[in-house]
Amino acid sequence: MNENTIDSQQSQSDMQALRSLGRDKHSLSGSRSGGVLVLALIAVVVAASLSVAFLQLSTSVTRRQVQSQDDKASFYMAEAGLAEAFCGMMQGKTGEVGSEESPAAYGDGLFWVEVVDLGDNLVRLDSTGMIGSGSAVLSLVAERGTTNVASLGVYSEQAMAIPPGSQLDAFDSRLGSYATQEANLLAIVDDLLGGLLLGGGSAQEAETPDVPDARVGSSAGVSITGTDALPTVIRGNVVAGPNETVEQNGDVSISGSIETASGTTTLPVVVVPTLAQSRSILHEARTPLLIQSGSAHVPTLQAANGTQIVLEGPSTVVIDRLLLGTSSSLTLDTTEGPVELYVTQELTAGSDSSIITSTQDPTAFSLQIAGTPATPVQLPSGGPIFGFIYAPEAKLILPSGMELHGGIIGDELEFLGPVSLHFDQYLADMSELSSLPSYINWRLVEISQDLKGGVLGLSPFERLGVAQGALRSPSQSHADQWIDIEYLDGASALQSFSGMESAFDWNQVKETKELERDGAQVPKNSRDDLLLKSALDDPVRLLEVNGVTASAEKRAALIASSPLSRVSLSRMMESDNPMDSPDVLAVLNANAPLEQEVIYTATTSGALNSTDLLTLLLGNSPGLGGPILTALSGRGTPLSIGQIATVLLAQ
Amino acid sequence: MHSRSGLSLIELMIVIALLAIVSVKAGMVMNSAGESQSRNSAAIDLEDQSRRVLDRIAYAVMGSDRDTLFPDPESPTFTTVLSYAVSLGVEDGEIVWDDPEEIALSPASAQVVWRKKPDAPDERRVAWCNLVRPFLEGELPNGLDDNGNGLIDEQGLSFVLERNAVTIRMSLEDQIDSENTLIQTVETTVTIRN
Repeated sequence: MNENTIDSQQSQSDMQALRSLGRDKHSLSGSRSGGVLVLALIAVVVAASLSVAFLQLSTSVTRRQVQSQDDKASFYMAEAGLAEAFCGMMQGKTGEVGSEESPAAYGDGLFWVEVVDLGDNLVRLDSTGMIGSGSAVLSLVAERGTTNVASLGVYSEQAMAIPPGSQLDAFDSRLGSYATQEANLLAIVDDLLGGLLLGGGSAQEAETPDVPDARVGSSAGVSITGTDALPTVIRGNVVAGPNETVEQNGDVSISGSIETASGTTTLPVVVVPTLAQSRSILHEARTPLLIQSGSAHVPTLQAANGTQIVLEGPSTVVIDRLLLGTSSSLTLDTTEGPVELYVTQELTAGSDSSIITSTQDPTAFSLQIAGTPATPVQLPSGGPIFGFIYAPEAKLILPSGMELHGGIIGDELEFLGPVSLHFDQYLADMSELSSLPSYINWRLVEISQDLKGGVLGLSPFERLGVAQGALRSPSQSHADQWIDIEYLDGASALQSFSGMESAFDWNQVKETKELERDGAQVPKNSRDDLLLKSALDDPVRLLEVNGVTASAEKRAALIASSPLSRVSLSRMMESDNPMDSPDVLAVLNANAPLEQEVIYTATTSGALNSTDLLTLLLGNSPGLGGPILTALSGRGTPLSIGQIATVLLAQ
Repeated sequence: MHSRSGLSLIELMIVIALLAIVSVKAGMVMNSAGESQSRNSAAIDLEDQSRRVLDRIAYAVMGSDRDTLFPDPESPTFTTVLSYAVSLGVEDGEIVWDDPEEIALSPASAQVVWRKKPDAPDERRVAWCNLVRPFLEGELPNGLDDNGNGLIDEQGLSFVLERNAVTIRMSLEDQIDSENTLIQTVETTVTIRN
């Protein structure tokens, strides 16, 4: 029993010792002394600081690289703008693309191009491109293409009547003479017909010839007549003026198209060079008179009957009066260069007189007649003439049997008999080239960075405050677009127009029916927007577009929009849906003081009755101008003598 | 029993030794990272600088007139000096040209130097960048085309004209430490717009 007790006591003692040891261990671990946490914190702080430093460095480097990329991208964006604008100019547009308020969207960036007219047919295109944080401005100076009418071929402003037996066709002077090309064509056709024409197979291969088309046109109607004995052949196209027709009577053959022009053609006036004036020349000797190459202004150049005058090229000669006697000739020696001849007052060619060129190159001779001579220009019957004759304000008389290789344009062409006119395709090609704009100068204006609002800057859309989705593409952003429109005008008549939008007057449009811009259909909502946009500046037009007809409603709206411009007030008084006279008077009084032109319109238009007109005139007296006072008696509803006297006394 | 708090000397020495090893290792890693970062940063800076200068030269040359570029060595020869005039626009139908400018390599100072109205009393002079190598990367002054670009012994900045285009080549070199050298070569061809 005692041993068990001792053992038990020993084991209890051991257990207590163990427990105390355990408690000591626990005490050791529970005391939690030491600096590891501090060390860990220090290490974390150091690591974090280094990370922040590296991040800042990395961000700075990235920012510089992005800026550099944005600069370059902006440069190319601006170049894209210049290219788009120049392409537009080649299509006859103004070159203006978008604006700062409504730029063209292109990829992740945008651009717009402004046009500055420098005069002398020069324009400056300023293109601003923006992408990312960069922006660049480039400037290009271009010369607009000149209007060259040589491609019109045979053309007159007035109606043209082509007589029986005439032949109008075309050739290409670069490929040889007209005679050579005609012979070749005939041989080819004969070969195709198995020798029916020339009585035997020819050596020519039966290739389809690429024959140019003649160009015959007028701003008015074209009438072509032929008979069985004298058929008329036109190997080409005929174009009548807008709303005009091409009339064919009898035996007439037209190989090309017959069309009606969609727009009018404006013939530019002849610009006569200013040259030092020399003495007049009357040549009577039998030996030819040689006028050497150079420039000269001859008041009168007269060749007596049977004499010859030779103009040596290259030369530019201005002649006020060119008089060719019977059987005389004017020879143009274009061997060494072209001859440009300007006639300013009179050109008279006697019978059997002629204009001869030493070479058969139509591009080497031009005859331009400035202004409207006192008498129609009688062209010589001798020839053929190789050259281009241009008389936009003169009547040209083509004698029977006249043959011309080149082109002829006049205000009016009168044919005294059958003629042979052969249009030179080379003139058309040269004309199209000169109508293109040419590049003069380029410069870099500015490349800058805009870092508004952030480390990497705002997008260009945010910088300009525009919504990217609302912007149009570059091709749609041209200020000038080709439009095909059907619309109702102010009188609710259906009208149509095709041409550049800059030539179209939106003021005449009451409602659009169909609209295509650059070949793309414009939805109705957008058409209405265009119409409204054009009317926004004019409250009177806005009322018309919105269909407001009640006089009182118009009065309230116009008084609220006052002051109105002179144009708006005039439109109000000349409207097809006139307001009541008292309402008109109220609007006019709300816009006092009135300009003289407005008072004159009020006097002559009939928008005011006599009583209201008298009130208006007395309210604007004294100071009424002479035209107004004169118009008092000429009104549709004239004022009474007493009323006129009252107005006169008030002055 | 008495509590046994504290560390024995052996334990302390072991801890110190371990800490030292870890610290040295950490230091080596940090040092390596730092050096790498420094090299990368220097390389990026050098590339950035070379691109900026190249763009600057390109923009200057683009707006010049081909007829005003001097000298006019057609490929395969080159020049380290380019004189030109930049257009200011058109006035009264005539192109207006700015004062003559010149971009040249200054071998003595290893700089690309831009001058306006060179040699005039009121000459303006700006160093666009330093660190230009005496010769283009890969090229040695031995009369041979070492780098195969068609030019012989071309210098650190060279211009080659071919019709309306100017090819600009430039090599920059930065000695970041005694052992490491960074070289950045850039090249571009620009079309003269006027």
